[in-house]
Amino acid sequence: MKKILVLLVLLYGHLFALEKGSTLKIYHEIFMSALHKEKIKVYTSAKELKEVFRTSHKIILVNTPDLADIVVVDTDRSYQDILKQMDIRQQKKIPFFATHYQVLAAYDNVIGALYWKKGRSQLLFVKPRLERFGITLSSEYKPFIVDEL
Amino acid sequence: MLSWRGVLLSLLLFTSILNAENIDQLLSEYNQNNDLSRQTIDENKGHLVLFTREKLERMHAKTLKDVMKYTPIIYYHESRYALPDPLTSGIFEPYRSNFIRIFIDGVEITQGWLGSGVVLYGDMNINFADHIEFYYMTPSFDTSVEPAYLTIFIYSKTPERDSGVSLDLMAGSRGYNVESFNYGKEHNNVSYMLNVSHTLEERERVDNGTDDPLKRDFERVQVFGYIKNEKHSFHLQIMQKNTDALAGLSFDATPLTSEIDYQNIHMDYQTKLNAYWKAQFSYDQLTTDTLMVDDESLLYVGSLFGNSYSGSSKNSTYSAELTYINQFGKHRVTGGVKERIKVLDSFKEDGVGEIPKVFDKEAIFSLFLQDQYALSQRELLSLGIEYSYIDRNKGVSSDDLLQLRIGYLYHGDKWRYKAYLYQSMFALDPFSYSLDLSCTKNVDTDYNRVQTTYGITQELRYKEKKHDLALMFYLLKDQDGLLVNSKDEDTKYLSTVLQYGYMFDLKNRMDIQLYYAHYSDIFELSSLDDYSGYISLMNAYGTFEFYNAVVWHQNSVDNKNYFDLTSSVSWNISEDLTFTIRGENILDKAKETNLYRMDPETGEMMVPLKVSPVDRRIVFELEYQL
Repeated sequence: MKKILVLLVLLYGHLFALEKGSTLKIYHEIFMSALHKEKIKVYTSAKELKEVFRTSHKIILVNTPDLADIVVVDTDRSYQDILKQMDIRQQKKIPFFATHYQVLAAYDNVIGALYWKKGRSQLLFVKPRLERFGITLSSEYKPFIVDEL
Repeated sequence: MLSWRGVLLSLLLFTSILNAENIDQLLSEYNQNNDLSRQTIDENKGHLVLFTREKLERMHAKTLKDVMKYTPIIYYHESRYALPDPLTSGIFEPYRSNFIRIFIDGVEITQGWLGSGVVLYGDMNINFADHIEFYYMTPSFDTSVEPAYLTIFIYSKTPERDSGVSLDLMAGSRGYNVESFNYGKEHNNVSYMLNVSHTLEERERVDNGTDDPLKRDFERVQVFGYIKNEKHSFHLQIMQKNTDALAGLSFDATPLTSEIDYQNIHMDYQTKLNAYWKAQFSYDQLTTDTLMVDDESLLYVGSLFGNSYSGSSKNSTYSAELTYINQFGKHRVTGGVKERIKVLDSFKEDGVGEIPKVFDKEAIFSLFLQDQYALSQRELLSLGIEYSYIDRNKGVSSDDLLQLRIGYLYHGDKWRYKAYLYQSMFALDPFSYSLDLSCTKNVDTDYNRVQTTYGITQELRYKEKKHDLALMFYLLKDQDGLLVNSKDEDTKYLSTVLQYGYMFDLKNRMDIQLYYAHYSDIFELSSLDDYSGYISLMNAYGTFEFYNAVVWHQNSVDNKNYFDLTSSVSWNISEDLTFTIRGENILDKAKETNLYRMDPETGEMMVPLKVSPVDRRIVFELEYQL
């Protein structure tokens, strides 16, 4: 019966905007390339992303941002809320990653973003911010790194 | 000696590099699997031609007309009133596209007494749209659809991906200009969207052999907005369109004045009552102001008003639908009931008053049921049935319609197959016939009342990461056709569509489409062959993006080849600002529609005018995202 339900889900479209398989693959690839860790501790306020990350064995969701290797933010407001919860020293150590360009553009400790623009996903990192957190990405990421926004 | 930590880190770095080589591939997969169309596509709705958001953006499609020139089988045409009417024959008819239906976010936009929503919304500004799905023949019975050859589902943008303000400014040939504004926001799980556009189209004139060529310029203001959460949604759509109506009511296409202004309001409310039941209500209102002057007697109204008509009309459509969906083991059952009431509130000549009407109220009551049974984990069998009863006042006959569909669907990892058997019944639109006030024919007895179309359709699709190949095959027969042909035979259609898409990489793509149809006993012809196709290329280099496409048409009536070449270059100046130059119908050889003329004095048919619905135009565009 479970397989039948899988068929019906395939035919009638997804209930949520994010598809688990490809979303987990891309986020895990990005996090692993940036942090060079097999298992990555992530804090996020993005509701739907949280549901997807919950099903991963490689991305571990943590309850407080101070315990995270990376923080994923979706809105300006959630960025502000998360920052309030964090220890000042940790704010300088833990990089942020955004799901909207506006958040990437607005805050210096957001190292990059995976966001939608005109129906296409865009991946972007800001070089000086990567350097500030001591993050080195492989040459394959060169097309996705800019010196400034 | 390396420590175990060092070895592990090196391994991770190496793995990371290997993975990073696939970053393009992963992004491509993420793009495809998370496109918003994945939330709305129902594979069992029928044969789908999809325009994703990315495709619409790369095409720089700004109106539904820009999209419909690429669709197979039914492509964009305009009527003698310069209104969208893809099925027009070019002869003296108010509209013919009442068998094409337009839905926005799951609710039909209809003009009630002007056939369907196509006449007004067939060339609407689509800046509010995320993606568009075209389904041929009656789609699945998840919702009630009045009988249709083609159903167009437009889905709007969401603030989750299009938040904030965006502006789109365009200026082009002959003073063409469009200004469009979009605002989206999500707050506490409530989404809002507002889209406002203004269009001024100074269009190409059509030479009618006089010093006063036919005009079809228009000015349009369009407002689209919604507010929704998980359970409720409310949409509002307003359109004001003032047009020069081409030949209008002139028999020989030499009007002295031909103008129609339209004002349309659509609003709908949808709610999920619980996990199984949902309801929707909609209201559509259309008012028109018409001014037609000719040196000869006018079409339709000539017997009453001679060569001048200045009148107005107002009609309202009320729709309500209740739907039930549940899963019983391997069965997914959908059922529902729908009531639609169309009222012609007024139809009058200035200074004279109400014009006599054959009838002014039509009520359509529909019941629909569908069972989709999973034969295996890859196969689905579906059975759908819909009964509609159309009741009209003032003694005009009622109609019963029965739609049936049996479907089989195979969904493999790469290969997909679907086949459907249809019975679709279409009722004569008595209102359009009753418009001819000089006609002595009786709509109850002198025309075929109901047409039954039988069809078998199949589709085979192969899809993997870079390739997407689809072959569609349709075989249809119209019995007791509403449009009687010269031999009084059943019209038969055979259509095939081949589509192929190849993705070179994340930003470069090629699409090819070929279409062939053979018609027997259609109009005055014993046979007709129709060919069309297109090839399009989407490319990117640095901050520049290119789109080039050519659409080709030919048919056996005149064996003339038509080519519509569209090209655009976009420069992404920054993340927020894009500048585009676009050329439409660059070769000035786009497909033309025959506009038939009759000498009002002798009653003899004149040489038809050839009118292309696609203007030759250069457009400069600036898009800004705040």
